[in-house]
Amino acid sequence: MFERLKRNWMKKLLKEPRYAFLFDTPPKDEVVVFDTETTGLDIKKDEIISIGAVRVKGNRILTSSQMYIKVKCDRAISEESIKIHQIRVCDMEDALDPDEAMDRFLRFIGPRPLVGYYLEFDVAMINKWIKPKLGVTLPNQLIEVSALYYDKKIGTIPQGHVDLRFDTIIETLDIPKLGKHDALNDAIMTAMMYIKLKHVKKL
Amino acid sequence: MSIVEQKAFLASIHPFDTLTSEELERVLGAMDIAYYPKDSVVCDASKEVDRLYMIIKGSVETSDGEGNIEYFGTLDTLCASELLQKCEARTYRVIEELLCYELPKNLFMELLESNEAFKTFYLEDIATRIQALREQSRQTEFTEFLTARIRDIFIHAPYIVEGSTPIGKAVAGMETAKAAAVLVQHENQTGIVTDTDLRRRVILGSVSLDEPIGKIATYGLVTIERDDFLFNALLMMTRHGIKRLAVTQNGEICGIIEQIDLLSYFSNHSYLLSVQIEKAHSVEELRTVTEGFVNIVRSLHNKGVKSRYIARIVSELNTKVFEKVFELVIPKAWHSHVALMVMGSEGREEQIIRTDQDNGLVIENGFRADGLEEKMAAFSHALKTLGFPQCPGRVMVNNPEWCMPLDAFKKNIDSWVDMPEGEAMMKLAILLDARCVSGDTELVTELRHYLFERMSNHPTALAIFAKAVENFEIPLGWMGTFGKEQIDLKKGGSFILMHGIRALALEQKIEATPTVERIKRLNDIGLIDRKFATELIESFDVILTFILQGKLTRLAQGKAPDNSINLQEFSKLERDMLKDALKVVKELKNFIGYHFRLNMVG
Repeated sequence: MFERLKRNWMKKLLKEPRYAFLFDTPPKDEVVVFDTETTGLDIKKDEIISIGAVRVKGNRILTSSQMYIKVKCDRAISEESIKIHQIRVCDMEDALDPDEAMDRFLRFIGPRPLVGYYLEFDVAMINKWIKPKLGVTLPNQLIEVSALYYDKKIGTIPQGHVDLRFDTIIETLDIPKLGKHDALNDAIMTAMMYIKLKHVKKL
Repeated sequence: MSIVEQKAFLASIHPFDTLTSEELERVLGAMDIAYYPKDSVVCDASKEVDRLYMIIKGSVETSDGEGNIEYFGTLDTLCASELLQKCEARTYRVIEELLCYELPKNLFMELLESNEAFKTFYLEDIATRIQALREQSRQTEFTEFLTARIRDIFIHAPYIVEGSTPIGKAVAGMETAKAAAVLVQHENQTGIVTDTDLRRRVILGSVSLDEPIGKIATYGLVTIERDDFLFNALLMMTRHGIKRLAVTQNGEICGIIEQIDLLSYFSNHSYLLSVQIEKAHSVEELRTVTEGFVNIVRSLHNKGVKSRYIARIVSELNTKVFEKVFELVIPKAWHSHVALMVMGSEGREEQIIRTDQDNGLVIENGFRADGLEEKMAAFSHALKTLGFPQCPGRVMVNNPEWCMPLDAFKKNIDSWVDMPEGEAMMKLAILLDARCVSGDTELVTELRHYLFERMSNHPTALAIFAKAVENFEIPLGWMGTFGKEQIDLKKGGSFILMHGIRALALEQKIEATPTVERIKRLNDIGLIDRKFATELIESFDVILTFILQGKLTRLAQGKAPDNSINLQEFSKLERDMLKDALKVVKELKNFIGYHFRLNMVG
């Protein structure tokens, strides 16, 4: 109820009518899992370098409709982050302009709920970008896998401390590692976590 | 790029590794990842199959109409046969939660059309597939052969003298050091003096033994670095027409390599060993020779030589050892009146790593062998010293039951055939594989013919004999998911194949003892067709190879060799090979079942 009111109110604030589809009823049983690579971890200063996203329908990860884009950024990529996601300056030659990248991303997700690992950060990075243009932040429902994991795990741990590191969750859920960390691989692995977590009662 | 990442994963799955880069791209663009919880159904026999599944993680089981259960695990593909209409639709059930790629049927069909190798994998019969898989694993072994280095072979310690040393003294030193050549330090250069130089200059020439050795040395030594390839050493020897090279380490001479060592590394030194066996004068001398057997087996195996050929070489060598021990232990006067036979795997020429000694002695009727017991004890003991373990079933010449006159053996056969129960049949099977290695061959031949005659008009005994193939299950339920990472490949594989063929050979009175030879004969007389014969031979070889690999690994770890293998250590390629081979074993088991009407004997 409250959720719907909020959405309607947000829809009124939308400056760009061509993005009205973000407020449609989402297709049944579908979500989009996404992950971003950034120049660093400071939401104010840092920028998005790449976005990887994949749709999930029921128990299937639709890798046949996945998205991976690189985004042009003004800020120099720090050496630290190059080490993590291995995107060097020269790898950014086929990067898109931020506006075009944003448009592709929004059309890819549509009104579907968004799933991710520490989604808050990725969503904040996206919002920083679309708020000035659209007048609203992402209206999509957000699902945090580490929270799903926490809920299933907390019952089994007496002290109530749950290790939520990405690699720990991967190992606990026995998910195959797809090699190196980039936005798309992480999105696919996160999608596997999400589907598995939907099925387990307790860890 | 993660697209590349997925591509790499896909390319690691056989037969997808045969696809071109462009074909892989198409697959990636059409593939989804699906999740199926435990106990759910991946696809149902009642529905049309519309996609191909590739398992990323988890395992699945299915059964055909005849109740044969098949399991699939990581990197296996499901439903290919159904898509190709080679079998009826089946129901696939998840036994361990499953993550898999799914590929639409139409794209799979297009790939079959556009890529010959890909098509071959799905359409060829098992023998062809095993061959193709073998080729793939061979490549890596061949490169190993090309990358062996000088440091991998035996380097003789150098024997170095000053150039001023008198020849006589230097030669004496050579003798003591057992050096084949002497290196000479003379006025800041190093030379070499070989046997050839001594022969030409000292014995046939005019140089006296008191002159300095520096005078007859050859300078301008050809050297090679210790880390260089053996191949280059061989090339250098050929180029310079020499038999030795000095080996250097950081420019300093550290030893000498001989052509003979090189050649024996590249061929295998089985020839050398057989010469050494023939020259041995005592059991002790033989022992130093037999200790080298395992290394030969290892090097042949690493070079990708088929197990059945390795078995042949080892069996040749073992036969020579038996002959030699026979010669050393058994009095000459007996030689034409007794026959030494080896049985079991040794008789079939299939024993690669020594597991036990199965042997017996047939004595001519009426021949008096004085001191038989003592001689036989000595014989068995000698073999034990040479590393042939005692046979737990005591099938050895020092057991009177396996060392007696021909007629006594025949009596035993009579009693076995008349009372065909488990143990009798086992003894009969051991005797059926008998091969004469020394003495009067006729005795063994006559004994075996008698066995054929007695058994062949006795269908019930034949059936009971064949029934042993049902003692063991074929482990086609292995995925590591059953907590069964270790499987016994002898019981569930090679024994069933070997014994099934042995039963057929007995029925058809086939003389040959090796399994592969028996299969060929059975094909000649038309009992099994050519395709099945080829599949049987290839599968037998595959199973033997895996058993051998397991044994070599265990020996290297200092453990006792056994017949179990650990599936966790298997690559996808190896698992596919093994699976195919075991399917063939299963087919033979079924064939034996209805050929001998096993369901009719209790």
